[in-house]
Amino acid sequence: MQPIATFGLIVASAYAVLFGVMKLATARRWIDRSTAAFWIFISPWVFGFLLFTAGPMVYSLVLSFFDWNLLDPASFVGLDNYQKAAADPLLGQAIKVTLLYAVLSVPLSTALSLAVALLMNTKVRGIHFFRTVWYLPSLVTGVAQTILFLWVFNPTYGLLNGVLDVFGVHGPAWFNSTFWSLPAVVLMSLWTVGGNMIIYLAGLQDVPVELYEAAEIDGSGRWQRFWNITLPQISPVIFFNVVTGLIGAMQVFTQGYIVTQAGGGPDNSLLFLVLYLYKNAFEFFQMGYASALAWILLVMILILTALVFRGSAFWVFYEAGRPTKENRVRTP
Amino acid sequence: MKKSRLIAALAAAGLTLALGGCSGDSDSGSGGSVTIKFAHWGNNEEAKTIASMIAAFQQANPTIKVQDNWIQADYQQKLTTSVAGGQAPDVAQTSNAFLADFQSAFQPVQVDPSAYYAPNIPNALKVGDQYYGVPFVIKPKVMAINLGLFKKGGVPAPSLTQPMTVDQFVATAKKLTSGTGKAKVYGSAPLWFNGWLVAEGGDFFSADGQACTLDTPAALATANLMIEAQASDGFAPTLLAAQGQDMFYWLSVDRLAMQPDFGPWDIAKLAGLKSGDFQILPVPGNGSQLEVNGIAISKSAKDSKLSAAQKFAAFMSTDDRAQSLLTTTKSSLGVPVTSTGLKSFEAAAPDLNLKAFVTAAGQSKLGASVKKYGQITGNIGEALSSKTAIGSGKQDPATVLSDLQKRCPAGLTTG
Amino acid sequence: MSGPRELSRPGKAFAFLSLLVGSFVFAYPFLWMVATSLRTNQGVARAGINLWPIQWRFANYTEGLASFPFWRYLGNSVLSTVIPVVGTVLISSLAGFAFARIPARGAGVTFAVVLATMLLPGEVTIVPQFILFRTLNMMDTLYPIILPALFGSPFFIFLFRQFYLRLPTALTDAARIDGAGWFRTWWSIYLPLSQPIVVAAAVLQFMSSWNNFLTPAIYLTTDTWKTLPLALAGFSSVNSTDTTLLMATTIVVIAPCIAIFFLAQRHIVGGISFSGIR
Repeated sequence: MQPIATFGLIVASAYAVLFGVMKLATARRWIDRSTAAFWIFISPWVFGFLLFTAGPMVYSLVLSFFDWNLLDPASFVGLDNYQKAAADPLLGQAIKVTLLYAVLSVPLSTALSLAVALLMNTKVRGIHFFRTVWYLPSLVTGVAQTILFLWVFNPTYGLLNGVLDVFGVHGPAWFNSTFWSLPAVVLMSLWTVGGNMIIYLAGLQDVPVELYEAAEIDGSGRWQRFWNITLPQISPVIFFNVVTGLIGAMQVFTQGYIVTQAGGGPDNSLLFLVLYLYKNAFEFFQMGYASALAWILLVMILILTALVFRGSAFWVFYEAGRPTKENRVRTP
Repeated sequence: MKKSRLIAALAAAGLTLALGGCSGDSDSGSGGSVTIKFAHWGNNEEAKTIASMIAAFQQANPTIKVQDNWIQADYQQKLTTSVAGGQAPDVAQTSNAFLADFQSAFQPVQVDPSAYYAPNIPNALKVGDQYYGVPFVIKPKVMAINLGLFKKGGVPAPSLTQPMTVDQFVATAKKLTSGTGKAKVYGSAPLWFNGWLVAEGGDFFSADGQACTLDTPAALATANLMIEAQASDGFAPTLLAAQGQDMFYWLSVDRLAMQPDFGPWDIAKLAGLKSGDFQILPVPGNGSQLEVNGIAISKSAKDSKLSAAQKFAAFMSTDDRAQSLLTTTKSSLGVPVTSTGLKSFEAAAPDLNLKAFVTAAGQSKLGASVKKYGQITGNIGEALSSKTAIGSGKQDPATVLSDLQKRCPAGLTTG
Repeated sequence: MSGPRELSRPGKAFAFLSLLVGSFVFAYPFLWMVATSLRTNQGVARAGINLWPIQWRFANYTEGLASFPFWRYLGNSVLSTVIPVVGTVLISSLAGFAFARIPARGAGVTFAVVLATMLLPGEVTIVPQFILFRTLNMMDTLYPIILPALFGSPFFIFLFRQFYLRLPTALTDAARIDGAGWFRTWWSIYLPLSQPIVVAAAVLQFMSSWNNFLTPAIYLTTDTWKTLPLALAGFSSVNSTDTTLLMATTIVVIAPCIAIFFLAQRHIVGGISFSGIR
């Protein structure tokens, strides 16, 4: 049978079950109609989640208690992988490198992308052209991106050191320097900051123009308007970008991979967590250990994100409460 | 707006259904034909060459179909993943560099050593006592030189058949270096530790492959030579400066006089250079590492697929219809492994001394087949580069080498 | 509601100048890429990082595109991009609306799970998903690439939910009073009102699907279903990279993305007034 037909059958039967259960549940008054509607609305996501995310994650959790090199059969080793992780100096290095990268890149890229988005949100001649130019770098991926950055960061013939030369500064060895390789990767990620621009632009449209008008009438200056109106109004968007930026930074992989493949990142100075995970899985073929690392990484990101959410109460201006029958979402 | 959305959604659903009409692999062909899957690596040019060789095979064997599985990146990883997922290809291109790691996935093959012009060729694909791959192409390294720069520097052209000694090479390179800064002309391309270690008469591992040999005088001499070459008054660009740069094109625009790690993939490009005078010589000293590619047969290939796989391997390896396609005037996958194949090889670029490739095949001493060879040698190279003046470090190479020797090989098998 | 902001005269000049200078600096590597795509390899070796001289070798483009089955790869890329874009935007909007507006038990916990999914690095699920698709007999097809995207993306669900939360609840109330069901409410009112987010999400998904290399590299083996990013990898091997052909082909491959972004930005930044009730 055609593979898509098998898959389609699975989906169709799952939906038949779902609708049946919902009908039954509402008829028996276990749940009310809106709850049933809710579950039906999010059912595609739930199905995908169970099949492509939860299932594989459970599999990888089970795998983390085994030792498997893909070619020979797996053998059960209990908590060995986790003990190994606790004593692994490379894991400590990976955590250090990733946190350092997050601390460096998230504030810088948030500030830069916000500044860029504000600039791009103005009515200037040719703004469409400028926006496209700033967005272009995030489109260059894969091998081309590798070549491009080898040229930019080449210590002798590269663009960056060439520019520094003009100012009389002798540039460092960038990718091949233990200290400067991480800042080089941060710069690489800043170059693609235009990718976030879309979200910011969409969010900036949201600010009610009457607030600006009212403030202008009251005689407040540009900086005051920015600080007291724009920032708070787009703080949910900033928050969103900080959270996703943080998650993205903890998960950074491609830049580290392409630079180390090209021979950069000496002394494990670019050993990001996901890169270390990937290496364990696909270069050293230690699937069990890699799965244990995956779960450790997950827990770490969870803790960090929970912290950011807690902190958000102090500076994010809106009520993102769950809609219940009683409360209403207050419009600002 | 809404209507067009609905139409779009329906079209998407329709496309998805249409997709279903074209997939699925047909393992057992109809009417007595067998299909085998062949995995290989390579860039666009190399993949075209292999495709033409496959076409030649299918023409000679109409009952066998070969499914061309070209893996564009990360070959070893993809191969391992497919073996793990139960999707191992029936035949796979393999290299002597990583053959030992895939031993558990492949089965031993029959190889007749007398069919090849150098014993190194079949021996490279032995693990222990058995052959695990049928050799079909070799990629030896030679040295390409820019004769125009030699003339300018008043240095006589070196012998086409007799390799220079390492000292002669260094002296020549120094003589041909001139200028400073961005306009500097270098005597040689950067030296690579792996290749130059062999030239100095050393090797990474002992003959039985059990122990490392990094504390030998050859290893130290190699490291010191690399540092000397990259010094600010040296004769080669630094490894750091050469990143992302194509050394062959530097040779062609008179920025380099000699490139000691020239491989057969650039033959067509060299022959195609419109201006300038270039030639090919053997690598100095004891030569460079020899890369031998073979066809390996997966353990999972049985019965009709097994015999089809064996026929395919034999065809690629010794049949002139395949071997003559390896190097043409347009592109080159590598050097043929049979003497009849060499005839068409040398005809591809009659003005160049392609015999040097053939000499190189027998010149270098073949190392033992060691598991995780790539990882270990990669870690050694990285440690040397980051700790000593070979790259961006400052430590004494002797200390670094003896430290690596202590940890080698077990301590260098992972990150 | 606001759109792009008007500036004063000096403000405009300052903004324009900083945009110009900033854009040049920012775009320099990209300009170098374009210059390289028009040079010979020897020209690249001579010129280094300079934008000049250029040998005007347009043959790089024709040779680059001729070195692999361009039209087939293009068709596969279109297929594996358009379907996920439509699917993921619709499903994510549906889910985002449900989280924002449909009162239900267990919604909060479920949303936390959605967020937690975002925390997962994709590299973690590669091997289990590989085994899953092998069991479903979908190797060497586009299904493993298209299917996961048809079930929504946590990122977009988050985006839609945040957006819908800011719309007045009076919209929902009015619709319910008129007797519309939840689906009608979503389809007729909320979805059209979220045009900026729809376009933003569609563009983001398009870029991500079009440039996706990892998943196609894992599942596609024969030429029949390969996509454009795989072709780009074919320009380099362990031994050398054909820089000029690579850059030329890269520019061709990302040209649709550039065009789409250029056109789509008008829909994101349009000064639309969407709060129907004032």
